[in-house]
Amino acid sequence: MAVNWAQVIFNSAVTGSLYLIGAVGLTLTYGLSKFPNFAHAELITLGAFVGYFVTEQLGLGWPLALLVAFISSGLLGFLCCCGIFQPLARRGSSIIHLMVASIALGFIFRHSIGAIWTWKPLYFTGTGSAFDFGPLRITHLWLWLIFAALALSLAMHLFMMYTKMGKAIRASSSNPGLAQASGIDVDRVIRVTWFIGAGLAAVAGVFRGADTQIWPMTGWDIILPIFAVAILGGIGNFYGAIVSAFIIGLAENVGVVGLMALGVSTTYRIGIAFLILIVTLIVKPQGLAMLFRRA
Amino acid sequence: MIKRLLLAVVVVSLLVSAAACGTDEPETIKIGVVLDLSGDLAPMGARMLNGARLAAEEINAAGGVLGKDIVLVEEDGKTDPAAGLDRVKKLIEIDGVQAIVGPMISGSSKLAIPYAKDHSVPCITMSATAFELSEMDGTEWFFRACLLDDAQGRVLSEVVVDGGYTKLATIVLNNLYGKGVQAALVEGLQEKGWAGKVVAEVEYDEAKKDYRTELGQIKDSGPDVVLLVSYADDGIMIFKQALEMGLDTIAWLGCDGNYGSGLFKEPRSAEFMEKAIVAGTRTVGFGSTYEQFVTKYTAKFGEAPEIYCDTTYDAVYAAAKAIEAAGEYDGAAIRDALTKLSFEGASGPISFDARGDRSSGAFELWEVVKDPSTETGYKNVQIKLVTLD
Repeated sequence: MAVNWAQVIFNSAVTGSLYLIGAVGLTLTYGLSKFPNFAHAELITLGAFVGYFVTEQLGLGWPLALLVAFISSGLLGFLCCCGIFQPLARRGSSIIHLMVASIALGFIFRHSIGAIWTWKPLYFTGTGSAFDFGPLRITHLWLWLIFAALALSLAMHLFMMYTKMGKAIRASSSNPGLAQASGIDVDRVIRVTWFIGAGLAAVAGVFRGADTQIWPMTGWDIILPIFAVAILGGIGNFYGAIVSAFIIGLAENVGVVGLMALGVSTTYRIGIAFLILIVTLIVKPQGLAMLFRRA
Repeated sequence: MIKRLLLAVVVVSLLVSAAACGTDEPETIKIGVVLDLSGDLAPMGARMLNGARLAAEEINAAGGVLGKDIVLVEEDGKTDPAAGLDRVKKLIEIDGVQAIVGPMISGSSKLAIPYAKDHSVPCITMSATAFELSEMDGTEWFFRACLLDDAQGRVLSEVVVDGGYTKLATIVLNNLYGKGVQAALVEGLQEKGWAGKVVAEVEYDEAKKDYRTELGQIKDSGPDVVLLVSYADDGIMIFKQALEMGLDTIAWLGCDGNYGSGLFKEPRSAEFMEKAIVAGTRTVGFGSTYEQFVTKYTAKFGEAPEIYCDTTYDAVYAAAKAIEAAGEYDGAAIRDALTKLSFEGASGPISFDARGDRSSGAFELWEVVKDPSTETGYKNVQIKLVTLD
């Protein structure tokens, strides 16, 4: 079977971009708060629904939708952090307690969203049209998604390297005790990171929703590859996440081609992200982080 | 004192009801009904039960069976194979029924068939369509008032041959339904001596919702016709992304899973279906019996019958007619009568082949057209009625 590899690589970039935007918040909060936040999936979902509400129900356009979604999920993430996770951590909760709390929160959010917007799938309209570019079939939305991921990478790089807050995040992540002793308000750094990370999850949600459909499981549908990106990239490591997002995107899309060539159902594509996750945990639990020592 | 009195009342009432159970009710003929009234298929099961009740009412109004009224013993299969089997056991062992209408789903039917055979009680399903049930030991005790997935694939094979298509790609649900229709289509093509070939086959995950790469592969394999077997929500995603991938210049085939106005709520899905689908299939009732059924059902229940209400209605009629023909209320005699039965049902002419499968019925071929008078701007229309015999 002839394979249009240019299209496969392009699709991988689209998939990887989505996973990157979704994974940044997860990997940073995991790095700082030292537990995986499973409610991250619902922060993605909430963003998708808020984006839907602003564009479809209020008719206010995409830039505003992204902004409102960012702020809504960001605030929710911020509140979860100060209201639930930080108090729990202060009382000496272990990673298990925090994880279970985040799973419970996720359930509450998911079913609340279902109660507000129902469980029936909803669809964005006006997501742009498709066109041919050489051998590629491209939609405007996919271009915007890739652009958003590139812009995010650049902005995060500048933020982490050159701003006080960015430096504080890196310091708190690698050694919270020393950061605290150096006069950094680690708790405040953590709260700001939760706000930004949750906001970015919302952006991923809006893109995912516009590209497919939205329902209360939207975030949950893509949380596994997002976890794989965070773990392969190295927990708390933003640069690792950029590389691993593209690797996971590529593995999934090439995997689909491979599964079809083997005559196997493409149901197993989700297994590819799983496989990468497990192999990383066994072989190199620190992920790609070692490639980016400076970060 | 009051406690004792209460106790006495409870004991007495228990005894009375036990006695009522023990007494034969020679004045009625029991027909067991197993429909899924809770679980995933609950909304569908409730409507189908209406179809069964309508049939029973008409049969009794016309004098009943063997001079007695029929009584439906209604049980909830809970959209769960184990619960379905449990209800079948209850009907046979506790109620002593000699004929069962149901089970509704293939999973329950699969478990019920050996049990029905062991106890010599025939089952007539209204909606279990999986082909593999016909190949089980005991299938001679299992009759179907519905058409099989298999027949749907064969109807589609005619569309492919008649359309002169030579390069087929398939993208189907990774389950019994999707794979069943796909296999039947390919078999049907081979039987017709089709000169073309299958250029791509995809079995997809309905939960993934992103099929760009699968559709890209289909595009690269250069088909002139594509079969999609889907349910509604995953179908919308595939049609929408197929439009984005520029696959609307190829002819597409649909099925009963992607029939209906639900598919048009996403405008690009509707646009794609209008442009690309040359034909889809679904089972339909037709003729005057069907129209009378629709009128009576609508008048009684305040809404039009939906899918499989007609076959449920027909299954109750089939059971009643078979009991009448057998001349006695006995499972083995009723089974023999069913094999010889032939009548005009709401869903078309009904008779059963050697394996108990329905040997006649009708499919329609449908397409999607624009219609500004509908809410979505699109609707399904019938291209052609295909009767099987």
